[in-house]
Amino acid sequence: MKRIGAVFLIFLLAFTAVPMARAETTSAAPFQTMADLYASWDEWPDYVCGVWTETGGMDCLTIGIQNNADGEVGKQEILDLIADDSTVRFVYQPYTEAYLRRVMDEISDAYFGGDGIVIGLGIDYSENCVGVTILEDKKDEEATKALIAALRAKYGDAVSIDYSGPIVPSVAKGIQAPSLLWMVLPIAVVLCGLLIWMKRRAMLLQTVDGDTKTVTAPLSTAAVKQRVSEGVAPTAALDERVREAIEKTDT
Amino acid sequence: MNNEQLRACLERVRGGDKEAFGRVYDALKQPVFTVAWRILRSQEAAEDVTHDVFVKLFAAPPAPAVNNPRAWIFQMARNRAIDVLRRAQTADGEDAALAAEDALGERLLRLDVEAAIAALSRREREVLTLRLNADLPFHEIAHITGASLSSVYRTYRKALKTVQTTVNGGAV
Repeated sequence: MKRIGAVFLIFLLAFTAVPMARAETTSAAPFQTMADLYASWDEWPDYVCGVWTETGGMDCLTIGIQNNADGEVGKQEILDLIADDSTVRFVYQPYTEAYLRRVMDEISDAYFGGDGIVIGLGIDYSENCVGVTILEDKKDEEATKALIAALRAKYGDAVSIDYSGPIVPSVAKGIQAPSLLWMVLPIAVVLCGLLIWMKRRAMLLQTVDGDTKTVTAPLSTAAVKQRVSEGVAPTAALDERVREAIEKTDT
Repeated sequence: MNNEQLRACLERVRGGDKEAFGRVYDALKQPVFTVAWRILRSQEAAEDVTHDVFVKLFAAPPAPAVNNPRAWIFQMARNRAIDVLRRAQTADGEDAALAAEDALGERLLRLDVEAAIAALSRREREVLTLRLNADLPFHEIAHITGASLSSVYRTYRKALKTVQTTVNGGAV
């Protein structure tokens, strides 16, 4: 009887030790859930392609990561940092968020606004591409077809195309469009205000002897990380020392 | 140079291939020097440590069983730098300032970011440098420094925030 009791006790301890050990391990993680870790990010790590939810809430976030060594290291890093692995799932995606942002900026600079073809731009994280919205009315124009061909040639499947009517219809049948003056007036007011603000700011920046102090924009976290990672270079003399030491080791 | 490329080069270094060693040296000398410099704050001492690390690497490269040779190299650099720092301790136990006025130090102190890093604690400098210059994941840094993963992560975030605040003149 005593032996049966001892065996039972051993089984009981064994089954409770496993969850206790797991709790001890996971309690070492600094964040309980993926949502907690995500909230701590000032900016996304380089290996992240996208973050979205498929549950409609923050209980489980989907993280897009690249299908390469960096992505695997990043995935493991995330899992090490959170206690509850069920709050994250991973999908492999080809393009990082940083790359898609650059694509979006390039398309915006080159095509947005000018001839009215491109009327919308945005990153679709779940599809891992930049969505380009083209005005439906211009769909069959040669300029539009050339633009789409150029985007496909340069960016491949990092870009998706869709079509839409105008964001704000400028003229509806029977209603006269506002005159040009009423469209330009608010812009002129804003520009004047901007000029006054800039002049005032320049006056505030002037020192007593008339020079203007230089004000630089604050560095973002990404810029700080970039500067830190540039590191410090040793002198050229080190190369010679190492080379001589290797030669001596060899002989 | 990622771990796979490094492993391939070190395989050849084990056979005495100096060209392979040269590629490893060119790829890693700056981050190794940076780790040593940010701990020791002395160009001469950091170059001595860097020299010793690479000479030892050529003479006795890590075995093929070492899964993460990159972390192995930076651990060696960090440990050697700490040894040098401890030997330079003054009699009353305080860390000595190792030639902070050397030419390189003066030049670099004019760069905002390095000045901000210089103001961090040694642990913060270590973690920040191992993360951003040695490119090591947090769990490897925890293993190298002997700290917990959560402590390493918090130290890194705090150090980065402090550097950013300092560089931006107190405004982030």
